Amino acid sequence: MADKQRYMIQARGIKRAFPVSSKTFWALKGIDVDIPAGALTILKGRSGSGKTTLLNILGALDKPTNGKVVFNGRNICKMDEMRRARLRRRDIGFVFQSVALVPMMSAQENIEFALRLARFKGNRAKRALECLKMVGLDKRANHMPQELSGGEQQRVAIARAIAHKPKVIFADEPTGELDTNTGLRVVKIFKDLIEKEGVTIVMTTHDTGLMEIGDRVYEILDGKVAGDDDE
Amino acid sequence: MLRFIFRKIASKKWMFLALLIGNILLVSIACSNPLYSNAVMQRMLNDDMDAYLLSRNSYPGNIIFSFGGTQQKNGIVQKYETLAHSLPEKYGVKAHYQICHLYTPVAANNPEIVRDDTYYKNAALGSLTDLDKHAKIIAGRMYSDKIREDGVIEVVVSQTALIDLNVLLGERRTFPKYTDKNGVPVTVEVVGVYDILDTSDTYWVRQPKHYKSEYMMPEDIFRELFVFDGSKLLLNAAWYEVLDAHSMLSRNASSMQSVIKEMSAIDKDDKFITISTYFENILNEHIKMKSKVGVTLWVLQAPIYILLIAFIFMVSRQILETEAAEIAVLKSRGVKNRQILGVYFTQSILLNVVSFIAGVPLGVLITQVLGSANAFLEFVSRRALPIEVTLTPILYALAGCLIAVIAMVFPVRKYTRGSIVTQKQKKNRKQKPLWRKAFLDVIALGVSIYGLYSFNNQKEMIAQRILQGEMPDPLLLLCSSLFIIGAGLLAIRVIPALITVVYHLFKRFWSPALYASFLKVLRQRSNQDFIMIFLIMTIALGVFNAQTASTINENGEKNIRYLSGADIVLRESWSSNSEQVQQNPSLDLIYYEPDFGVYETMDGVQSAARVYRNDKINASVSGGTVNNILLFAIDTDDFGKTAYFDLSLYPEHPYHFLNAMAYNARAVLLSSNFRDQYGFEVGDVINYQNTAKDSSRGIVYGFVDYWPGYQPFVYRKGTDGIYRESPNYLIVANLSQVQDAFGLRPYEVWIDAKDDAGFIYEYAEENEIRFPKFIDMEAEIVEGKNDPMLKSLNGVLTVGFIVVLALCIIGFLMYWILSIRQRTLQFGIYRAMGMSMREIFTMLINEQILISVVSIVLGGAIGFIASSLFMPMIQIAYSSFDNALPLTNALNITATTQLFSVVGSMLLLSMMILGIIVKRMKIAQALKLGED
Repeated sequence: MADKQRYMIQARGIKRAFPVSSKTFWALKGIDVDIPAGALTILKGRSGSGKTTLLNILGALDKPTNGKVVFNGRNICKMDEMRRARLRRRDIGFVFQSVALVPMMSAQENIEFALRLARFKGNRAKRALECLKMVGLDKRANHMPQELSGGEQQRVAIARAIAHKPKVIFADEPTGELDTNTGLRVVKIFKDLIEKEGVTIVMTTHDTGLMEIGDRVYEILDGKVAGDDDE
Repeated sequence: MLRFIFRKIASKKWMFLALLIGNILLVSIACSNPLYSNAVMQRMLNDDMDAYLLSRNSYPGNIIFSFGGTQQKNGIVQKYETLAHSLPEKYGVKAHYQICHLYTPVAANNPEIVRDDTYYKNAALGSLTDLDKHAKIIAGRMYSDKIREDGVIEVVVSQTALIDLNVLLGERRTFPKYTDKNGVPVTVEVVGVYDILDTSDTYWVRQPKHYKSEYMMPEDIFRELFVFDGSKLLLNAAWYEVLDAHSMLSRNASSMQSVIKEMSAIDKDDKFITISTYFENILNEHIKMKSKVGVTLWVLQAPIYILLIAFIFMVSRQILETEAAEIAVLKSRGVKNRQILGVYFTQSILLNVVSFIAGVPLGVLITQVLGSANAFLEFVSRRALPIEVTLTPILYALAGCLIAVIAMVFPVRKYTRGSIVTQKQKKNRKQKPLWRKAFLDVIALGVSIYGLYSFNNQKEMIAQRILQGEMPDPLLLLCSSLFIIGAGLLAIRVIPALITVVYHLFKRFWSPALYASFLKVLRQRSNQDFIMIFLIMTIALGVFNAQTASTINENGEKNIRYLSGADIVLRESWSSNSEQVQQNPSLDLIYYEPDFGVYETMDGVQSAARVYRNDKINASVSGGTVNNILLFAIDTDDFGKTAYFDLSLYPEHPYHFLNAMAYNARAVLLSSNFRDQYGFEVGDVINYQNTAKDSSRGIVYGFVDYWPGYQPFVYRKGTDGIYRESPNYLIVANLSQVQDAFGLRPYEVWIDAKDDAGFIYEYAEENEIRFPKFIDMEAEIVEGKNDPMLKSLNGVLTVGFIVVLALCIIGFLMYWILSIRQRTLQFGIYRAMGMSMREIFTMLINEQILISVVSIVLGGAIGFIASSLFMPMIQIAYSSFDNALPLTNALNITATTQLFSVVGSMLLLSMMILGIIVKRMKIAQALKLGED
């Protein structure tokens, strides 16, 4: 079953260095991961392990120092900034740990803005409401981010991430600042999305309670993959 | 605590630098105010003193304190002498000389040897302090200091006295009335004739010719003989206090004036004493001008002070905003409010110590710049102002510091109130600034419009008051500043509403970048208001200042050109037979015409014209006679070539009139106010005559509103002492015709110079000619620019603009850097959502357009509106009798272009800096930044 799996993203030999006060710090020391399409992949690890760095590289936000990332058949490391922006716009949705809504836009406007950016054709308002409904927040469409609770904000962020129907959603510690129940609810929404919309989801977490929900789990330890549970 | 403060400052060095710059500017502007007004007034005082010397040929620094009486009261002479000699100290001025002139009344005297031509003219005995040091002997020798052994006293006389008293060198005279202590009559021998040694010596308060009946002896001898208590003899004493006019300080003017008052009280009450002070009038005029310049400075600088204080207040609030959390933490740990206030107070004191140390020298520099401003944003190197750092500027600087401290500490109160919880709640709540809640913008605008309205209603009265030397009401002048501030704030209130409308109308069609920019401008306004206000104020003030300065400068210059009439206008002194006519009134008055041809052929003359001017012409009109009409008699061709015509004043080219007049010797032009009053029409005949009743008849060929050198209205002082505007009528006639009727009368020579007027000075010097009338137009224009009112206007407007511009640049950069730093996370989100770098730049540029460009356009509009509304008001405040022309609002293209290019390059530079900052941002890092 494993070798028949279609992979949305395949990363090989990923290394990433950051200059830290005249020395070089290797955040990633050679990582290979395969992200199966239409499934939930979990990157787990303690804070500082390099999982966010890896997520940013997989999501075309950052470039690796070495290695290559094949996203849906294309090597994104060789793309220029314009193409990467277009790729992020069309095929990728992000959900961040600290809620990253645009503070001056209401819940619905945040989503509409993402649609606008993705050059979404069709009724943006309708689609925004649809997505809000998916996360159960259609009643709070006109609220500003600061008027929503942390969990609600995170759900709006998810709604925004899925609005333009991306192929992959990257979620960086989406439950990090939420209590267990709310966290479970967010993960439940992810599972529903995979089922209903068939998207691929990659999320990082340090919460061991959530691991079993993942279709595939990579443990990142000190810049390397610790083991592969699937194989 | 100090270490804590220093660490705090180091961690936000840029913001503190901005705060410090604002603070230094406030201190230096505050201290430059008295520095400048004192310096400019000091120079004016010196110039006035010099002008007095030039025009009256007498030294202005003199006080003459004279006594006449007997000495029966003990110590009376001594008392007055002490008082007189104490005057320089009282005035606070150095004395060049303190001279005592003692003399007896004239009395009969007998010669020892009677000559054939002896006549017995009464004479006086006198003495003059240090005469021997300041006089030269032109015949004989100087007197000796001692009474000769034969009891004879040696004396010297002036040339006038020599002739007047008809004495010879070596002649002796005995005064029976004046005796020495032994009762022996005094005998004097004339040993010499004195005259002025050095003509520029201010010792000679009175010229030698004044001492026309005095035998001058050494002062000591005179005192021994005549100055003692109990003497019944009448004694005259005059103390000449010759003050160093250039050491008179403008800042002492008021105290000097009170000394003068004190002295004139003595002069009135004490019948033995008369005191005359030469510089009294200069001083009185000076004090009037001083308060005028002082108020003008305050009024013109008011908006700058307001902006500076607002700037300091807002920057400190911005800093506090970033420290709000720390304050809350400190409070939760039990630190008292007083201690927190103490930290901020100490911090503001530290900043102000630096500001004071840097601000005062900068103030001196600013004063120099003020002094060299020639027009708006235009500098010339003039002789440096006599800047003097006295106590007053230091006090002003300290007051500036105090205000800065208040502006820094005041906002702290808001942050010390409440706990960490209320802090967070507050942050989420939108707060309206005070001015919005109190509608300060509407109030300011209302007050200024009301001021304008009431000004327009009482324009004439105000103009009259100013002409009588009164101060214009400073509140009235503040209206323009109020208007700019009010309109600026109102614009900030109204513009977002307009943007909202645009947003709702068009949002669906916009690109994400444009959409995001609009939302940003609409919904995140708190700091943006601040930068918009500054931009609007800067541009509005700049435009207003440029317009005001150039309009007033240009109108002033135009007026001088118009009233002068030509490059050079002069009249030679004409000799006449007036003395004979006085003795024999039946004779005709004949003038002997100087050679006009000299001027026509002189090197440097383009063309010359003869112009006869007489302002005492009567004309018969229906229903009576009109007096005091101004007559211009001209050679049309020469006049057309020579006179300065401002073509914008004539609907038709003035040559048309001149050509028409050339056809008919009797043709005349009338001023249109003459026509309007008495209904003349072209073709009418007008009879006019001079005061000698020589009359002439003219045929009206046309009407003019203006004529070179002609004031359409004059201010005449009525019987009640109030100046009233009254129309001044004009007749322009052919010179030949007028000369036929009135005879040859002294005319003026008008000259159009090729280059400058230097040649005419050379000519006058070489031929030792003095012109009773002489106008050098260019020199008058230069002179006009030295007017302290105009000078401070130009200086303050320029420096004010530079300061505001500096604030604006700092504020602009600070706002944008902060705004971009604060939004790093937001940019990260945008980029994660797939916004390209270019789109982010587009977004920033859109924001710039919505914020900066809109502000600049608004500021320009407000500036233009303010200048056109308030220009007449300012014009009147600076007006003098010499405003003949209508006020034209000069569009100062150079200054305006300069202004906008300075602002434009500032924006470009700032955008480049911002571009670099944004480019350096890494998205991944940006996102991380937001995570912790």
